[in-house]
Amino acid sequence: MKQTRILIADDHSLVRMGLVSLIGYQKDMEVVGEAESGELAVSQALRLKPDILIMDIMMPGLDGASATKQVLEALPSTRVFILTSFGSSADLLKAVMAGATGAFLKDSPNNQLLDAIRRVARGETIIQDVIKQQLTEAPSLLSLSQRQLEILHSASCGFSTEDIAHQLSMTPDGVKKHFASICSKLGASTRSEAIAIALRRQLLKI
Amino acid sequence: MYAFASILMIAAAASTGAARPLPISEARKISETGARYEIEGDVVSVSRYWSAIRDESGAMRVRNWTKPWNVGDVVRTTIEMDEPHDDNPGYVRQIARHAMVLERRPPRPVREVFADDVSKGRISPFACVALRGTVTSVFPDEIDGAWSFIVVEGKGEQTVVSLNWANSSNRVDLADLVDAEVVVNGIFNDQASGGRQYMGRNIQIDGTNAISIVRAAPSDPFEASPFLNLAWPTDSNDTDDGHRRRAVGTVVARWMGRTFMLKTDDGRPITVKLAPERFLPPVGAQVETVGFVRRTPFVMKLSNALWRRTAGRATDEPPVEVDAPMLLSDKHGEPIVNIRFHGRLIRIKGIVTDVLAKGSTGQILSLNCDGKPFLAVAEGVTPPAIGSIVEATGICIANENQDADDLTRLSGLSIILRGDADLKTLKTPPWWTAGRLLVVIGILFALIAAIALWVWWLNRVVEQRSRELHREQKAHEDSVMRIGERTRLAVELHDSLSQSLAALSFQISSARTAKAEGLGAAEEKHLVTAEKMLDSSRAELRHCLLDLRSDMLEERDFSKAILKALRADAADTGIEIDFRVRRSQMNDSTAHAILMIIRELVSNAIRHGRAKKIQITGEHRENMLVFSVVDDGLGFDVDNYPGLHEGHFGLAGVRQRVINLGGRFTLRSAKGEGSAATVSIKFNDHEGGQAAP
Repeated sequence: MKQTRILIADDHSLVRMGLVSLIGYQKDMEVVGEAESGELAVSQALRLKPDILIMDIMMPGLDGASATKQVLEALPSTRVFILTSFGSSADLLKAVMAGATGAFLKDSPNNQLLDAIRRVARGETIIQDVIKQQLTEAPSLLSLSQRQLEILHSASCGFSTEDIAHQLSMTPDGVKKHFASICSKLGASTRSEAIAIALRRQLLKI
Repeated sequence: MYAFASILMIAAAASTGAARPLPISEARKISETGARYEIEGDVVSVSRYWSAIRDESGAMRVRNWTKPWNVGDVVRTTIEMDEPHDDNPGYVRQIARHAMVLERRPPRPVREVFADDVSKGRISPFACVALRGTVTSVFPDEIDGAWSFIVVEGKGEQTVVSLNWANSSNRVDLADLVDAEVVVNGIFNDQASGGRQYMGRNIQIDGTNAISIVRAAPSDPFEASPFLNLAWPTDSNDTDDGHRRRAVGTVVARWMGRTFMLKTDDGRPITVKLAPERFLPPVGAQVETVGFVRRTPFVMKLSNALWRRTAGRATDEPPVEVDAPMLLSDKHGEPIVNIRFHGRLIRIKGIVTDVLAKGSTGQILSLNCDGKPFLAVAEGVTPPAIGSIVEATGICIANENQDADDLTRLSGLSIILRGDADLKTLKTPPWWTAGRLLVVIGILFALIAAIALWVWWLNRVVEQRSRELHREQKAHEDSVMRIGERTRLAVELHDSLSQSLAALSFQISSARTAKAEGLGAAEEKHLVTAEKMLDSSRAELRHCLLDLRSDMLEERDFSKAILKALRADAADTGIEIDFRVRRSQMNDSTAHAILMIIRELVSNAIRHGRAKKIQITGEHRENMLVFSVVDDGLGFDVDNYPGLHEGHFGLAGVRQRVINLGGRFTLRSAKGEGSAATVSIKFNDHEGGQAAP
């Protein structure tokens, strides 16, 4: 029986270590490599051509979604299995849109996780229900422009409208208009609520 | 003996209540209010309000509380004394109660008397008499309209008949009586009652029925009356004899509905007051008038006058231009009136200060001429606006002192205007009269007050809104801070604990699988790793919970924040901190990460290196924040220090955090030479210390 060749990309070394040993005991799987960043994941994948790339979403440098996109462009037959903590809806959506066919939370029972990896290896698309739920919230988040994200970010740091306008070389009125737009996109009624929603959906990182 | 009898009498009266009547002369001395006594006598006369009773000692008037008698009856009555009436000294206080007619008798024939009998008092008090004589004048009581007076002459003397109209249903024109021979049936009054005491003895009648005309007055009173003696000034009352006098001239002014001024052909003014129910002649008419002479030191007057037109040319004199000082001057505060202008046509300028009366008889304008007050009496004149400057042309008349006792002084001058043409408005008043100005000022003040109130209110609203906004802003900041803190915590848990737990789970699964496969050594290794991971996670959790309660992130001085983060871990170790990056330059998560890294490094140095002295430095180098932890501990072999597989997760955690911050971590050490850990992270000062993720 041909073993499924697996590349593990996770910036968290303990998790990587655990995964390696867990998967290593599976008779039908073989860990062919490890990567601790998105860039490494891409280069390792190109070199090793794994059947499955198990990838964390949040990694320093190249994030999981971008890495997924790059890997799948070069290796269409490789399955990308996103293994993430709870999370960043926007990034998850990006990764799924880029072609990841599996998405699972790290704190799921291990046998379910292994089962999901096997099914993805067989060509199924396995997106955990909790993640699906997160994904439904994501589109509105994606519609925020880069400028609006910047404004939200500054606001979340506690800056006033005038300060934000100064920092981003805008007029205070422009900032206010952007806020109105942000609020309507996020379904928020106040600035604080918009920031809260953005933070909750990890649109903003603190 | 007599005194004893009196005492007996009074005692008897007191004990039986059937007292003997008092002699009227005695009774008249009693003035005590509420006193009661009896009198007995003949009824002398009966009028509407009172009756007169006479006995041998005298006569007395009693009020007709009860009146069972007729004139002539012998009666007995109880008298009760009423309260005195201050305003009316002639008020009859004796009230007749419980009267009893002792004997009905026909009235005695009334005695015929003449004026001299009355004036000399040759008639018993309150007796009914028939006064015979010729009427020389009639005049109304100027104080009390209910009374008129008729002057009757006879046997070379004159007496007054007081006529009380109150009892008559119709008032007849008394002027027709003048020069008629009459008999007046009335009651002799020893003295006039009420305010007419100056009249002296008189005959009192109720209504004109008491007057019977024996011989009518001549049909033409004008022909019958001699001309008025116009000698002026006069020091005698020779023309004031009660007989009617005649005057001829031009009507130059009229006022108050009953008075006109007649100017005789030789230019003397006579003030003529009409008899009742007569109309005034038009101004400019040539008239003949008859009336009774009333002369004061300054003014010649005819009262109760009649008039008729006569042929003749009206005199027409040009007005004299005058000013106030010519008419009036002051002496010790009292006006001195120039009587020369009385009756002259004058023209004067002044300011209208008031319109005193607007009635059918015309207006009285108050004028201020050069600071002196004048009254302009205007009939048929449209009153000008107050404040107008006017030129008034009219007849000047002297105002006599209102106090009839002092006719030697005049109170001022008035101007009688004859029509609209006599009042020329020279200048209408500006709209801003004092009153209006006051109103405008008042409105302005009210407006200012309202605005002030409004501003005050707005201020309050603004303050309130500001406070609300401030609160909102604060709440917003708080909520952002809370959300940030929560998110940071979530990320912290995600980055460390959650990952560790996942890894732990993988290890345990691995151990189980190894056991199932019979790989005892591998199983043991997984379990040991898992145990160490668990220890490490517990420590992480403990730190995390302590950090939650710690205010190290709120500490403004980053060196102090580091000390707080180290807590008791570094109690026995000399820690030197030289951190030259201010807390305010970093955001919360960067600061937290740095504190966690430093704590882990210090903890490692103390636990594994047994360091006695640790130096912590930090500085800002170009776009990097570089900090290091240097200790004097045991040191270790950098290439061969215990790692993850040996269960040392501390440095792995540090590396993880540094990676998350997008930074670099270097570690230098050698056995016995302590160690130096250096971390450099990207750092943009001007972006609020946000480290690149």
